Amino acid sequence: MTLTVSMTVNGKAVSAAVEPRTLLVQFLRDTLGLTGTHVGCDTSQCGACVVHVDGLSVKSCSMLVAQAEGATVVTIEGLADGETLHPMQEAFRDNHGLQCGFCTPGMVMSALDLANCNPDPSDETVRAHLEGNICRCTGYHNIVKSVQAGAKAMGAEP
Amino acid sequence: MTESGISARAPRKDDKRFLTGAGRNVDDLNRPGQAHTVFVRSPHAHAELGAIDASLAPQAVWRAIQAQAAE
Repeated sequence: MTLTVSMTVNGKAVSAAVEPRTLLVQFLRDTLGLTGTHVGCDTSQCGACVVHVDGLSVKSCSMLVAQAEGATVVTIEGLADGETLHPMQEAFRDNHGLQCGFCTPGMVMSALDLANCNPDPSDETVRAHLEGNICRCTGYHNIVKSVQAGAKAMGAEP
Repeated sequence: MTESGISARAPRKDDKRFLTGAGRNVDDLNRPGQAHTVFVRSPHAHAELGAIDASLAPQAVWRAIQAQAAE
């Protein structure tokens, strides 16, 4: 048994027949080939799979693709404008907010959700917001700096 | 902060791919006929391996690997 799902992913309309049990992250990675969204734990703890669904961050390993029917999904691949990085990506680069880079897509997508509603988050606020994102390189200090810089840069945009 | 030399910031050259989702990890590979490996680990902390009984392994998977190896 399959069901057909349709949604907008990174600005493009996509549609595919999938098994009903397909998770959003499986759809993104396996059906669409968008492997920037990672599966780090399969148990919704690590946050490597965070994407935006209708503007809000969600762990895509904890959502069925059927639940995203008709939604607008943005993944890490949808942020940069050609060669120009999104201000949040640029902030992670400037502040050395990544080491191995595995958690980075989820970190950036979670950070964006925070920055969208808070242009100047405190250290404490950033740390609380990133509770669901785990970095095993233990680079949290620079990640927090990156998120704060990125949020400010986004707030300063016209 | 100095511009170059000791204690200078050294911008990374490889970070763009990680920031844009273009990094490649083994789990990102998806080739035709790709098989997956699952490790069955011993339930005993210290023991000698007598024999391996593969009869409980999913046969379809096992055959696919053998067929690929024979090609």
